[in-house]
Amino acid sequence: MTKSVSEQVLKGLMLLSLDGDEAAYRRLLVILRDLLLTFYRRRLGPHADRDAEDLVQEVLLAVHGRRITYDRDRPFTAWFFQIAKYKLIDHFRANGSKRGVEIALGDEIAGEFREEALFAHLDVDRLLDQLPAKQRELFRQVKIAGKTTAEAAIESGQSEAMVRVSIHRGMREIGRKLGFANDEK
Amino acid sequence: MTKNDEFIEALVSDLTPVRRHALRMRLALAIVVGVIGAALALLISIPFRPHLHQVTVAAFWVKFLYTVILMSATIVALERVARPDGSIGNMVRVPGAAFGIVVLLAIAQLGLSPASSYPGLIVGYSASFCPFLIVAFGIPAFCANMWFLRRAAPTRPVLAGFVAGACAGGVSGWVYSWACVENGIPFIAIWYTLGILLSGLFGSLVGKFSLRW
Repeated sequence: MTKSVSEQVLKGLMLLSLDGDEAAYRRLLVILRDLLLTFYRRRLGPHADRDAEDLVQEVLLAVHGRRITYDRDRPFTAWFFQIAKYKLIDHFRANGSKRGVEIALGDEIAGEFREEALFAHLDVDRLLDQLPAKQRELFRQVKIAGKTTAEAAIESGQSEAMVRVSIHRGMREIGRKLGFANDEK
Repeated sequence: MTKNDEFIEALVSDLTPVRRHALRMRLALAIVVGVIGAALALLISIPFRPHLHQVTVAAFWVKFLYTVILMSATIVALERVARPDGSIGNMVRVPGAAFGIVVLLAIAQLGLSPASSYPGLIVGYSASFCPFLIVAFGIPAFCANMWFLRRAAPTRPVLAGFVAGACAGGVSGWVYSWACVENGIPFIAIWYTLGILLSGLFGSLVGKFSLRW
């Protein structure tokens, strides 16, 4: 399975943050904040804006204070999602909402953290438009549609190695556009 | 600038780099503190231990290896429960298998020994206090483990507390085995395991209340 773009982008930002890169960290926190706001508002109902904002701050504070528990070799979104879920359940417990806890536990809320929400935020289409047409198509097929590089190679008539190189260049280009990749060639 | 932006700026300005194995280093520190704590407790208790010279080499190694395995497995498990996305997975099977082997050895030893020696092999001199001493010697290790967990992000407080306690019991049991006076493998299977489980149960109780964040 290919790793998702959002996972790679967020993880890239997190790794830079762990190395002390303030710009990457700011970008990461802003993205996470917006994701969380949407996520919590939907869970808590329309009259709970303040609760949602408090929760968001709690989660960001936990991400900040407990970032030592992120394992660089593992997915970032899974780590982050567990913290967001933990804080939501905690919130329901504190308010004595048994139903809320059950919903939060039983619900596959992880889904909301997946591609669509993240893609929408990162405006991947706009980023991809900046790539050359051929590269963009390969990138879309492998990183978004989830095809293997072998399949993409057959369809495009290129060798698998070329497809790999092309996608790798695309990743680097997108990283540079987002401002967190090194400019080394 | 909204309240939220200020909040994010505050976090950004507080950013310090985190080294690759920072969490593991912290855990290693907690374990070292625990081992030293248990070793000091053991040293203090040495004058109260007669019969030390009677321990057989085989019994010593069974105790030593059994506790080393339990300690290692619980250390790995502790590192996992400290992370929000961690699961202890196969770290339940390792201690289970070790226990199974010790039980088999215990049965073999009983089978090879005359029935008159059974009380010595099963109850020995110290069954009435061995489990409690393992819990007691593990108190420094338990405190160190809780210090470690409270700064980490365990999402299952009861389980995390149990692992912290069982790990403290593993550390303490290992140190305790250096100068344990018993020769019975059944003794090890029963009373060592009981001490480590007690320690874990105590840990899960403490964890339930003190590992929320």
